[in-house]
Amino acid sequence: MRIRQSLIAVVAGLVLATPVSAQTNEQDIFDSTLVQDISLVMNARDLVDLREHWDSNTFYPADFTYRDVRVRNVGVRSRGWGSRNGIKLGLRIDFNHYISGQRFADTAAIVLDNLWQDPSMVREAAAMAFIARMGEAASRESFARVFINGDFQGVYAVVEEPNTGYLQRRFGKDTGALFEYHWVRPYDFSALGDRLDEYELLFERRTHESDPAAPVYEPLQAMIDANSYPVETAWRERIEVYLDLPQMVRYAAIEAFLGEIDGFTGYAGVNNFYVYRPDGSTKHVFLPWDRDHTMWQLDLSIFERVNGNRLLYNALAHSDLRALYLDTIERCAKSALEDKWLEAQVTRLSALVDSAAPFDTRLPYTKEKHDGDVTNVIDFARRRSSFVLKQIADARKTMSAGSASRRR
Amino acid sequence: MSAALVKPASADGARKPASADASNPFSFALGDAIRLALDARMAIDVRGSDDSTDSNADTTRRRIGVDGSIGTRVDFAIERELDGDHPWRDIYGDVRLQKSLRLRAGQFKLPFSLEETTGVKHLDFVDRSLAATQLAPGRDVGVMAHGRVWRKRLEYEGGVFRRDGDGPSPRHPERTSGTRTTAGRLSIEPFASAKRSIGDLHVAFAATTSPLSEGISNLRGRTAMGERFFPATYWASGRRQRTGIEARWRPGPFRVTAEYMRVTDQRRGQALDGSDLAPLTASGWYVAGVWRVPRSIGPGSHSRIELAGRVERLAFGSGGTGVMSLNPRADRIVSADDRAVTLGLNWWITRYAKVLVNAVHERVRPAGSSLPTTTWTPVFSVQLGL
Repeated sequence: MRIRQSLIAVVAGLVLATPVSAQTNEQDIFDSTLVQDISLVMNARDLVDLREHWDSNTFYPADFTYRDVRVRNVGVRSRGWGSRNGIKLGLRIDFNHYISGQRFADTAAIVLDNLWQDPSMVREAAAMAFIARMGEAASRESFARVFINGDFQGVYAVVEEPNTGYLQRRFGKDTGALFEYHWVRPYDFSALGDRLDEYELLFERRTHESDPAAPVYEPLQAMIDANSYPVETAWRERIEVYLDLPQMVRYAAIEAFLGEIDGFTGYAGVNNFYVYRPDGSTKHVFLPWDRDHTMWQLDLSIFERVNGNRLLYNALAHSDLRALYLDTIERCAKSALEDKWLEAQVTRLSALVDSAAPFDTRLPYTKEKHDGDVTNVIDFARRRSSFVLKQIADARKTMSAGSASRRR
Repeated sequence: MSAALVKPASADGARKPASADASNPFSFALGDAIRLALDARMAIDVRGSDDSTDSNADTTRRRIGVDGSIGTRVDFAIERELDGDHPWRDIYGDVRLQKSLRLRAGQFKLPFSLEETTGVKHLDFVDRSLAATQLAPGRDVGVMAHGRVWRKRLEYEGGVFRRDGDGPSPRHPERTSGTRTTAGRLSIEPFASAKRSIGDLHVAFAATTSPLSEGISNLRGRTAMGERFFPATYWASGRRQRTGIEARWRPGPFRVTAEYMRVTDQRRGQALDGSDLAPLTASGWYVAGVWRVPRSIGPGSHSRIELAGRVERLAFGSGGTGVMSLNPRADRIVSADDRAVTLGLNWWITRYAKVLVNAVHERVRPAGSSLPTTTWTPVFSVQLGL
């Protein structure tokens, strides 16, 4: 006998669990024009335990309050990789951890990003806003003062996790297969072999968790297997069955424009993304995550470490896809310049953060470092476009020369 | 087979020490001063599964022991498993202080639950009921006064124990169970003087109470096959209280037993804001019947066949208000229950060998699931013992 512990919704309680307020629009929590206030109530013992075991993923129960909406029975845990610490906790709020199906603002979970690794404190929010501006899927973000049991914890970025509401907004349905990529070792989309557990290690499924693994993972496995075909011959035909190639190229191009150093062409292999396969489709798309390593280096090449991602590298060997890559980056550059949008965004967000509260002295950087880094990000926003436009022009010349030489 | 080599005070036919059993060929006497009875038991259980590839056979219990008496006032028992992390089971001495007052000290079963305190040799099914297995306290170290009064119609047992049974697992140090436990049981045979079969009716009431230090309650629910359906995740603090009522009646070839028991764990100061939560509750009952087939089948006078049936339920939940939740600090937790029906055939081949065949039907509603699951599980057991 096997009891299948499928945690099906305790639907009857669901409506009660998420009070609908006439005054509060829950979606306002992602309004990035304001600094929000979020309160958590936790048992004092749990809070001590959470602080002591900040390196563990143990969930603790809490009540979450935003304005006059109180969501009971949410799960809270420490989160993050390099940003995880016990001084200023990075937190994941899981609305449906204890009550299956419970939502707030159409999302099953949000992250309270402790802004630990980004002295400017605005890279994440500015980058996600830019990705959305470019028409691609992106998490909604805002800033919030966070209180636990009435004690101020600091200013956080509120980040929507790619889950139900996000997927419905983007794809119309949320019933597809969603995977969160976990950095375990440097990886470049090389074949992983026949064992599904290799895929499960790197790609944690965030939907269909209780389904048998094979039907959930096999299309993803097929996509990565297809990447091993010779790029000159069968690669494209095979990969297009399992991957939305233009979307992947656009995704990578936007990252390249933003100078991401820990993403699709990261310094230690691919990192910081989700993969989604809509219901009824075999094609996967990439969704961005954790953008606080963008906008660090103004003159980072748009082809930086492309060879560290075999999927992108193979794609850019095709002239039409390479052209799409360059066109998308060009579109990014023009969009960033249009009404100085990116510079204005960074300036506005940094002013918002600075107005939220006195500078948090628990952060691992000083106010001077913060101010200096904001200046750097503004400089990036001002000058990145001209740098990449020049690179694009050079690349196009090279492509033209290559084509002419092949014609001859 | 959780053998009680010396049957507990209230067990079926357990009043007389085994060492006084002249028909037991494995008992020895040194004059009138010392009497000893050896015992050894082994059981092999085979349990089926919905998954045809997943049935398993286990040599589930291998035990040896000795019990006996010294003089006319002192009885004792020692029993241990041949393997396992906690091999020692009963280790106690029992002294008669007065005609109706005895004192038992050592490690032995707390006086709670008819079935739990009945030796495995006398069980009617391969496994005890879900309630007795999971809600009754089991063994611990303690001191207990017991005796019979009112022309032996009324039996009392009352004692203090180090903990609430076998104690928390060292693998889960965050879990809590009762510490110093006070336990008592009052058994009565109200119609003992009646000459009709009603004279055999036995009824008892039992209770335990113990402080519960702050931690995750070790109350948890498992099905007959050991699958978890109610997790041990809920914080508790305060007191653990256990109440039970039991009855047994043996008219002619029939034997009917029934029990109800309930455990509550207080949750003082366990809410998110430090206020009290509604107590965690676990309750269970069973009604079992056995018919002894009049004709013997097999060699010897001990050979017999019995047909048995049992219905039972084990449930977990809490009172409280608000939305039902799996939150370990929720006032109103998600409830769960297991309803089971067991049909059995017991064949006593000889005095030393018994075969039990059970079919267990369970309808389980696990915590967090709105859909119950139903299963049939065959269980087969061969039990050998001196």
